[in-house]
Amino acid sequence: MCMLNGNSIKFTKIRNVFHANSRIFLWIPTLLFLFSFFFFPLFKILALTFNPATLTDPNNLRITQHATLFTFYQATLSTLLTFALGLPAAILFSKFTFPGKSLLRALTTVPFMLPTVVVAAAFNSLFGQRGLFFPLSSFLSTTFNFQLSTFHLQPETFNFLLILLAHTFYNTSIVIRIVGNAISRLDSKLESSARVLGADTFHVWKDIILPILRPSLLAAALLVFMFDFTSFGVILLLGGSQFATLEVEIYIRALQLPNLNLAALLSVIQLIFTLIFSILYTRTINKVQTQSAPRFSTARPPKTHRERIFVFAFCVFLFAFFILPLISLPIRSLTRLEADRGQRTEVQYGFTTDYYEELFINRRGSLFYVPPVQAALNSLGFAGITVILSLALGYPAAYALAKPTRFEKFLDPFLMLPLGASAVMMGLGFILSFGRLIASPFFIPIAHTLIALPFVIRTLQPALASIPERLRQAASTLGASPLRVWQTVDFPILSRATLSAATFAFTVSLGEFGATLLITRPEYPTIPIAISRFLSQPGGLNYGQAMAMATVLMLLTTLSILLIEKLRFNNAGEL
Amino acid sequence: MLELRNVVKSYEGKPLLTNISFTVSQGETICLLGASGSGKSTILRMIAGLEFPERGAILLNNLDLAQTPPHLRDFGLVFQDYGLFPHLNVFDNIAFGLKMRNVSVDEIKQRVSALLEQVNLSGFDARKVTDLSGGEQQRVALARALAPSPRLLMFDEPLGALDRSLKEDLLNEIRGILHKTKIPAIYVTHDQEEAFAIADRILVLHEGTIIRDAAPQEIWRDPQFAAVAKLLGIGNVIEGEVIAADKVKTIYGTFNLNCAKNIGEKTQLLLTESPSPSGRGARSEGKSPSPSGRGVRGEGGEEIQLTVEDVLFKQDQFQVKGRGGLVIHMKNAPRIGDVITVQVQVKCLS
Repeated sequence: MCMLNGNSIKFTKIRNVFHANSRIFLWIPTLLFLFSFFFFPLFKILALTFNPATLTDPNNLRITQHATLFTFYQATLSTLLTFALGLPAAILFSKFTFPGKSLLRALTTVPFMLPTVVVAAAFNSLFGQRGLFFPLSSFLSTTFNFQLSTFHLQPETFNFLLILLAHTFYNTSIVIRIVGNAISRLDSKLESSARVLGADTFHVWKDIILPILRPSLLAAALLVFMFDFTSFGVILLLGGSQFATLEVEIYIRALQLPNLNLAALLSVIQLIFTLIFSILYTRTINKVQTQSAPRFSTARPPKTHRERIFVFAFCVFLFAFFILPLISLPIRSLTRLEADRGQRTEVQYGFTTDYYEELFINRRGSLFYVPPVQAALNSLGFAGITVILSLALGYPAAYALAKPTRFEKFLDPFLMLPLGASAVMMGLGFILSFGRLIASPFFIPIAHTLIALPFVIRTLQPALASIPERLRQAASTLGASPLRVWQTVDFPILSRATLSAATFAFTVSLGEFGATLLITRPEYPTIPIAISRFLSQPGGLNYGQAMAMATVLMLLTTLSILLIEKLRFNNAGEL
Repeated sequence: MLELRNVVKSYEGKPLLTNISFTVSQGETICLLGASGSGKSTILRMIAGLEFPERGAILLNNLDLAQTPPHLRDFGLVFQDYGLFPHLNVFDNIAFGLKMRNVSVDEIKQRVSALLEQVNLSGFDARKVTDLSGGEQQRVALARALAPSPRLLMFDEPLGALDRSLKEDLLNEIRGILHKTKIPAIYVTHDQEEAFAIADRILVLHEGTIIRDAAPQEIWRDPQFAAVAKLLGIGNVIEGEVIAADKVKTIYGTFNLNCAKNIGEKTQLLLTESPSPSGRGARSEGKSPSPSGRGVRGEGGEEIQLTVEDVLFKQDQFQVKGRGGLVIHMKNAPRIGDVITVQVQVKCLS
């Protein structure tokens, strides 16, 4: 490099200009897509928000204030509950070794990747009014004269608790990962030093351990809070529309009690908070990563009596908390607990495959004009289009970002911006921007692509960046044609990353609920939409079909996750 | 005065310390020497109260410490990798022990600045400890341990991570401070130079017990055990076989020694160079060894013949390695293959 003379510098400059020009073509499709389907709708929402009519209506402001406060309230409680479970779990995983540790750890991460409808259906199948736990509690109440109502739990309070539990179920793995890593990096000598210097247990925690863990505690809290803040599917499906968080309120004002001005205002408020949280999160997580390098694991088997009791009891509790919803869903989908709607004959309780069989039947007076299995076919179709679209748009952008110029580095955050917008907000943007056009089914995969695209780019980019130029040069000096170079060098490395990105897009599309709910038409239900409709209807058959579809979705998603895990290219795809 | 009485401790089910007894008197510095993994650090951790002996007792001024938690013991502990609190600056690190004792703010300020001066770090108060060099960090750790005026100081290989010249400087500082403050100290190391430089008494830990407990010069003169001689790098330890009540046969010849062992038994001998005018104990000869190969009694002890296998220049002399790995020192370098006559002293070891 230091031997470059004037001529070669000039040459490099010329080449860079040429390069930059041709590289613009790499960006055109992706940027065009983002501008038409993300920034244009975003602009529409902003325009409507800063419309004087929106901001002067006292009713709008009152509802916005109420929704904001309630969102903060439920997110705070959810975060506290998540930490109440997550902190001991982080200590358990970072300090101790015990049989089955890796299995239990894997189990805690499963919910994080499941679609919201599956988690909502799973909790419903366990604790809901029609869930497995309910007959048990009524059995208890008749046999032992023990009643849930002795706790004075109103149905709303009970549903609110369910929402908090489902959020905990979702986000505990974040606390385990971020805080647990920090705990296992803690140098045990610091504690020893503090004790010898005169600190009792209280001071060791207050003056040494907690201050050192503070950045990671804060980072985990911010991330959990952000996810709870933007939660939609869980709240709507477990609580219903009386739990008016910002997200739920946007949905209500977009579809049920139309007031698009208010919906726009709500989503801007939501966007502002999400951006603030993600900026704070990025700052704190950077502090966590610059802390001391990871040390060798200090985890050991529990020694004292107290440690053994803690490890055993907490393992059992964690296992139960994470496995019960996951197994109760398939069990409930195969169990008849109540009469079907309008059923007059005697009800056969117990094992049944009816709910699965019913998925293939197009009944008159059912919720759809098509057999429910059509929803599964729709979902697969949309997912397929999403995969093709997000790869087609993600590849050029990832290729450019693999060796970015300065301008392209500047573009990068804009590609990631859709992550900050909630799915419901995207749906609202589509309604505002395209009006009646969204009756076309193609807007569903477009919305899904918007959500999947940042993940796809982040998965492909490191793989593309990892291909050393020297390898290509070596291949071509050995006599390989450009095609052959691509075939022998690029393809083997890229195929894994591509498959991984594709699976990711596929999974995102299969499970997407918020945006789809806002723009879908009755003729084109997807699996999550069908589940939510079945859940909202009375009758054992509808409920059972919701359980059956959720089970199918859970299995499909789990298979995809396993595939991604197998294909993961180093740490690609971690945002 | 600190006393350990028949302390027993095992590690992962295997006995680590089988029977440890020793005392440390007021103003005394003892050095605990042992190979790595011999349990030196565990002894310190037990004295500090961070681990507990399975049997035996640890007493301070005849009071059993078993029921005293570490934070009430008033001891100081300095680790090899410093163990400084990364989120606190230099001042707050040193002040930590004083704060835990509710010392007034003014007094803390005075004490910390006096300590910073003592360890040559005046003006470092507001520095981040993560920005300091290894030597500076260890000085802060030393000041932090000294701050609450502990009743006992413990050092766990404090210089292990530092390079040579820093080591010597800091070792001298520690010596000076221990001398001035008269705080009794236990200094754990595997480096014999450090041990000889700092210790009033050296304790050698081997296979779970203290096999030797004596002043440095006495240990140097008479290590008694092969393990002690090897660990401290005293002379050469060689194998021999008792062939008569007062005769031991080795590959360097047969020596007249009574090692209190039965005939036919193996024994280990300590072979040291006797000081002599020519070099440290050897003189070069060009001729072949005497046919008998027997050790001859000379003025300084025994005389042996040694075939030179390797010569290494070391500071002001040459380190000569002979047949069987024997190492001696000479003023003038012999040639490889030469046979030299060496004046040595031979002792029995157990």
